Amino acid sequence: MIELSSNFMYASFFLYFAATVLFAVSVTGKKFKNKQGLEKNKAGLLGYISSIAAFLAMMTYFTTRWIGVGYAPVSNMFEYTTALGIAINLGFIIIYAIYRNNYLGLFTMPIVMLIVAYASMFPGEVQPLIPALQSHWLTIHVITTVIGQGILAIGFVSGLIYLVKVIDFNKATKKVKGLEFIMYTLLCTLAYVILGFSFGAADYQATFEFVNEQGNEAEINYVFPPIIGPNEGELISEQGINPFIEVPAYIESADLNTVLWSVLGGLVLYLLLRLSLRKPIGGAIQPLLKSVNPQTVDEISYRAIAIGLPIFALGGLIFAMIWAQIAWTRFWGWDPKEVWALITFLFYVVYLHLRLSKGWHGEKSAWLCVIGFALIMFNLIFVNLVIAGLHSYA
Amino acid sequence: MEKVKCECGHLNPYGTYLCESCGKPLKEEKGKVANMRYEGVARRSQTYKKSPVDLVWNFFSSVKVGIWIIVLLLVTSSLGTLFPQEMYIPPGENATIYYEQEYGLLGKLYYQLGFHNLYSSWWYMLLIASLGISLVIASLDRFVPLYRALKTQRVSRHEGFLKRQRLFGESNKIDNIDEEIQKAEKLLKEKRYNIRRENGNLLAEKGRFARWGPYVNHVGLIIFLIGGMLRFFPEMYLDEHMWVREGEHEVVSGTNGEYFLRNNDFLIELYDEEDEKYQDALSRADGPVVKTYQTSATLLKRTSDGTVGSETELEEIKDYDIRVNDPLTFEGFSLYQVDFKLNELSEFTFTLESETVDADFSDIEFTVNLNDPQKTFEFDNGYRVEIMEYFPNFIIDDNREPTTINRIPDNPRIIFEVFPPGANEDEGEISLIGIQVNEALNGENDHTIRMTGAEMVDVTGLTIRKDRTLPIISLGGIIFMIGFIQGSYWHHRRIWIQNREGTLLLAGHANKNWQALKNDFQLVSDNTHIPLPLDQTDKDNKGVSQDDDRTK
Amino acid sequence: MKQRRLFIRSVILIVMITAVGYTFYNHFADERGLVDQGDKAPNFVLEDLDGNRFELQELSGEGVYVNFWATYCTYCRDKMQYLQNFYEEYEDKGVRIVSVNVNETTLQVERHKQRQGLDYPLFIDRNMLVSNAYGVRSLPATFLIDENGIVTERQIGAKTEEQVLDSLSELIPSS
Repeated sequence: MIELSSNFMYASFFLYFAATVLFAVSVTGKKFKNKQGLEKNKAGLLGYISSIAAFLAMMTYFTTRWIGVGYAPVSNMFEYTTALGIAINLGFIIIYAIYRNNYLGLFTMPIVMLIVAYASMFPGEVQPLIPALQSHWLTIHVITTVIGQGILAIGFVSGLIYLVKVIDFNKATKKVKGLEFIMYTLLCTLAYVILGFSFGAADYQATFEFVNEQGNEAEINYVFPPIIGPNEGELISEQGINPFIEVPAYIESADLNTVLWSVLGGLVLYLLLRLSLRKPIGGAIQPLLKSVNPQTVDEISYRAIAIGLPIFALGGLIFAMIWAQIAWTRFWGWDPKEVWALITFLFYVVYLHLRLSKGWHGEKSAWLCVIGFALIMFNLIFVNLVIAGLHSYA
Repeated sequence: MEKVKCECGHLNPYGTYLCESCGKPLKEEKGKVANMRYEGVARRSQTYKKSPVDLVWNFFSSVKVGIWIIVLLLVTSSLGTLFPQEMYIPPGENATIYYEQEYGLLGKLYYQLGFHNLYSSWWYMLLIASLGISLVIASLDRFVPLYRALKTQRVSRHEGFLKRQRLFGESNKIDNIDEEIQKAEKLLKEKRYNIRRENGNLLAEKGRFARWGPYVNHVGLIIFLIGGMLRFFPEMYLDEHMWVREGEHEVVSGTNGEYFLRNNDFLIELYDEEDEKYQDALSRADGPVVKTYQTSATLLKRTSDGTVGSETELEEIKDYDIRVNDPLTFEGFSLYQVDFKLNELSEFTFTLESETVDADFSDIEFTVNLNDPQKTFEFDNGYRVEIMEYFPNFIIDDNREPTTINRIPDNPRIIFEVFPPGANEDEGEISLIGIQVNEALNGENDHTIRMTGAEMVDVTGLTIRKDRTLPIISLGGIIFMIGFIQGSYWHHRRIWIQNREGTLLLAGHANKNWQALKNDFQLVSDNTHIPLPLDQTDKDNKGVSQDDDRTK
Repeated sequence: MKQRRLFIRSVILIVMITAVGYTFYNHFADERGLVDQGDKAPNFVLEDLDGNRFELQELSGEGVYVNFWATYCTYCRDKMQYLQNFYEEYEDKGVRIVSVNVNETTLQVERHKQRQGLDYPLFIDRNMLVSNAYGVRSLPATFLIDENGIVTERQIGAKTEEQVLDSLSELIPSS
């Protein structure tokens, strides 16, 4: 069952790729089509269809895994992040149905791919559920939350399109730098995925003996070549190199090493792109967006947030509180994950008020959408992996 | 303040932008498009600045202030997650040194600034209180005039009003305007618009109730906050902890000695490491993974309604398996499985031995119940063993005297006195016995007390919770969600079509989702001679913002 | 019209500020005990080490010094020594001492009594029923109950001999 479900996941990956290509054709092929006369460009529709097919494939992954593991597959980083990819896909399907905007597809599909690929970097084996997670509320709370976040992510994508469209890339302004930073972050994720897959395929593993925080001898595994070594580490595996730097015991050296590889990998990718494009990445994409109506993408981003936020509030706050009351004896306990869900909610509330009552439209609003999504990702990755709390199961 | 009289005859409050009745702009505004927020009504808070009460009122009425409060809340909330809050540091750790020791200088600062209890600090609570006040005042100040404006709006609007809508169109090439309006009316009715006619003019309106969404939502939030506030009132909230040994019963605190809980059995079930399904994950885990924590409990109730104390009699009410995610609930109380202690010592069994004395000790065996030890043990062969002192949790105190830390037998020590047959009161052999301890205290002993067995029990740790604010909090949550959905998933749209002396004027306003409104116009224009209106903000982004007023 | 508005605004603000103020007061003021000054002392029944029944109600008309203690509590030990010195004198003046142990074993309590040379009766609160009813959380905890059965003071923590004496004197019935 589990194997079957992973196959559907691979299949959907190709469908996402196909959808991306089709949307790209629909966006760039317009002129070509006009010369042919009145024949309509069907690429957008086909792209939409393949994104729906990808969604169905992912849902099959989801259902088969659900059957296989015996609980809703949203219990650890691998499962949750995958579910986020599916949810963004769902959000796209909904919003596309309203606005039929092919640019949205062109931007959303690669991001979904990136997120699903990122998810697969986490261990995907079936995990036994600890008692606190054995509840129907796991299903209800997490799935509602992830759908909310998925739709909110469309707000981010749309805001991103808006920014790439309107920002003047000829001058090195703060805005250009900000946007390039977003691109760079995406490239770091890409670099992490590529490197992870490559070293994984090569079965790379370096093992160190080191002295941990408690002052005891311990072993630590590296899946990336160790640039940063553990405290008083000694290489004991055949593979591996001697690290260049050693960090104190309270730092998770293997994790930091992975982050360093991603950051450097992203940098390499970014510089390569900059050199070959000879302009900011955003600036290189901009011409593609010539016929984007900024008013429309602005409205899409707002619509996505107006649709997504109530769902997020329901899943991430209200259902969360109901479950917390049952499992943890109190509906609210200021656990870091709870606090960051509240912060995310409050942030979007500020967005709505600024937009609706202070007239923050267009560019300002688009920046807020980007920050909002950054908060969601922060809550998913950083709060889960770094700020340990009651929620750190992964 | 004087009222402003519009040319249509309507009296508008001071500060009105667009006449409440006909919509004629009463104040000059920049841009092509009118600011339709709150229908251009006067927000009273912005028009009176007199007494201190008004100043305070106006402060909290401001959306800007509201936004600032939320921003402050979200920024300060994030600070509290930098390091764990005091309630999440390991039990038994002293906060005064823990933060500095774990997190260095930053941790020390964190503690000194009180961030280890950030969410119950006076200033954080003050922020939340301000948010609540702002919600009440800002909502009141906007809801009332908006409601009035939407109720008193006329069908025939002033030309200036129509021209300054984002969607506006006109045409004087239509032959029979009234007939076209008639057709449009039919189309819009099918689209479930509410239609009002007046002197041949038309107002089609849909989804007005979405405009109340934000206020319903705010009412829900206010109720929620009131619920949160009530927690601090006496009798509303209870948070207690209880430990119950297997086979024993304890009183449930907070029930006035009314209810008791017996722990019949405590159980921890682990995942089977042989299970193929979980093998990979279990081999990666640091230790065994727990599947179930369960207390098989019996709830008991006092039958004698008499006095608290030793004459209490109990009857069984119900049996229940308390697990994580499945608390035992009765009369507003809930008992949650939160903690446990395995293998707490409960009984020691001893025998007597001697290398020097020739006697039969085979019948000598005695058991000390560590939770209620017997004082003396007498045996058929004339031997007598007496417990001189018992320390459930032995320690040598500051005065270098043996004593106990508490009444839990975690490190029990017993001082025995052994009297062989015929020995006098002062001739006993004294020894101190505990786990791996057996010391003679008054010189060489002829007899040795040997421990032959120990019994242990598991202890369950339960949280006792009563929260009378839950119904109010839930009600607030439900209303909040209803309002949120009402305001987000429906939208208010209006279409005005007017015949002004042979010229057809056409305008539309939506509080969001302009796309849907444009589609409706498309439908009308496809089926009639009425033209499509132009979006006046297209190619000109300098128009004043146009969205709805889902605001505080 | 304007005055009515001012009135409405003032009322709303006052209600909100009072509610918030009261919440803050409850949150930050010293926590009031479950049984505290001014409350009627809950009646209870306990047995002493010899099995003699004791009911608080029977002491009505006398001042009662209810002291919750444990053998492992050093301050309790000191306090009980002071009480030992004065209990007879004050019993004649109509003040009774009720010494309630918080659910330790009979053996420990008996040995404690012998070792410390305490002559007044000691009661064991099995299952902490009385301690719960009185909301005792830390030791020693003392409740001064007047001749009408009303708690006049709730004392938590160590007390000097002088303070104990003062408390006893306070309890002497006025009539």
